[in-house]
Amino acid sequence: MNHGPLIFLAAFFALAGSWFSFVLTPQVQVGRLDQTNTVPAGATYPVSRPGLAREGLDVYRANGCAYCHSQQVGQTGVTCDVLLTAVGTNQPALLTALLKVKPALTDAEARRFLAELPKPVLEHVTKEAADAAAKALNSTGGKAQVWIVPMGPDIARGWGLRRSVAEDFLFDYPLMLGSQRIGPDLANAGVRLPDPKWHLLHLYAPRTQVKGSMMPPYRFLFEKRRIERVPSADALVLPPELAPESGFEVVPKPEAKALVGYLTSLRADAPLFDAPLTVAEAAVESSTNSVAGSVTNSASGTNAPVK
Amino acid sequence: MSLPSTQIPTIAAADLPEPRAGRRPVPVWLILLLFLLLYWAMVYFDQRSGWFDQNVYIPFTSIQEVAKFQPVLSGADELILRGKQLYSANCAVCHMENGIGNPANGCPPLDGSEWVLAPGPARIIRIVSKGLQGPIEVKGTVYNTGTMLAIGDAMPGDEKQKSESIAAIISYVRKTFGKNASAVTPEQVLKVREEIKDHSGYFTPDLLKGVPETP
Repeated sequence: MNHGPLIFLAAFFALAGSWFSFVLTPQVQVGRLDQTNTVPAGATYPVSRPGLAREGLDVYRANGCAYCHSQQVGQTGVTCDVLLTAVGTNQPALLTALLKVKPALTDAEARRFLAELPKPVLEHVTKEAADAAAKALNSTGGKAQVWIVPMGPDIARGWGLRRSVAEDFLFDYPLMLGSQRIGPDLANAGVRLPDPKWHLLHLYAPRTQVKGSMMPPYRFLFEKRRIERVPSADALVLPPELAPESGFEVVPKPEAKALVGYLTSLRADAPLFDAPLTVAEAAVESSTNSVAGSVTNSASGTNAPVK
Repeated sequence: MSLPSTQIPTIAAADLPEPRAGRRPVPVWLILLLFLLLYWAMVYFDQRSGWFDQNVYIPFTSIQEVAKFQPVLSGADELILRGKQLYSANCAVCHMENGIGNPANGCPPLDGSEWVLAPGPARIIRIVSKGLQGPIEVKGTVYNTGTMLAIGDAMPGDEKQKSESIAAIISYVRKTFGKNASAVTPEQVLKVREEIKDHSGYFTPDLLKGVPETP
């Protein structure tokens, strides 16, 4: 072996190169990530999970949920919709503009269209086309908005409104990203299925809630016990073939409650700068209110970053 | 010497010297291929990396593109939103996020307060600009102990920027706690602030009552 130093150097640079690009670069990129604000509402995002949900993360991890469920929504593109919300004062001009923006409409159809507002004028167009159309409609006194609409197979499946970004996982350790999708993605499980009762039944007997589900039942997270005086408020309402004999009830153990707390806390749908998205104004209001409330409760309301 | 070497090859091999790598030049096509790869990588990096910005994710390829797709609000909504943020940062400590105030500390409520509901903003602009001291009657109760600081004067920026911040706060407060009372424009605030620029110290309710509600 007469090229020992050369081989050493080659191996060294190969390893140093991968360390540089897979350890150092991500650290520089997102290592100091901090809470951010939603756009445009300016609410603090993310807020840390409540205690029960944080415990549920450990249950999620211990039971290997991440082997079959991912928590990352992909996005392949972004498009724009133009939404017309109000006619304004100059209906004839708006009608002309609408016919110009949507040449396929007949005059009568356009009149009917204006009677059914708010309604999308254009869907899934480029930003430039949407801006131009909104400008044309707004110049007549109508009220048109450009909506940012993320696209992709995951979003089409209803697994989320936008892609997952690093901020979504800011308070989670370890990250339960998952790589297999034997079950559906859970990044927005709390948005899609906000009912804790549904989750408890689903954990106890998946096929009662999802037909043909291949998820194994997690009955060891539940306890069958004799009813003492009054039945528990937590007892599962089971179909007859699964119900325990009379005088007994099935109640979730603390682990099951924690896990359900975690699952219902999975909401990665806030509009952020790095994952732009338009949400309905009512949703903006309610999300800012709820977040503002919870921040005040944790006595850090004044420290909320303001952009 | 008596045994043929083919019968015990291991010993014969052990006697051979250690093989040495020669110096054959790297083929030209390989060097060309590597340069081609490097060029492709550079082009790919330039077009798609977003320069490793933490805010650039697929499908976006640059920070400019991300900025292009930010949702925009109409001007009025933006003023209210900005006011909400400023309110949370500056006012909510005493008046609370939901505007109920903190009567235990002598801090009056804003929610439904006649000072907020007033037909014109002349008095509330003065309060927010210079602060308030002294017993003030709100919704039939007298609040005495608190002193409101000159939040408006403490806003960052020049007079124009201060006026914008004050207008945002007051617009938000009047919309949210004043049952959709009219918004306030930065110009209105600027005009009132021009009138009171020589006023030193806090306003008192008695002083304010001498000011017409609509400017």
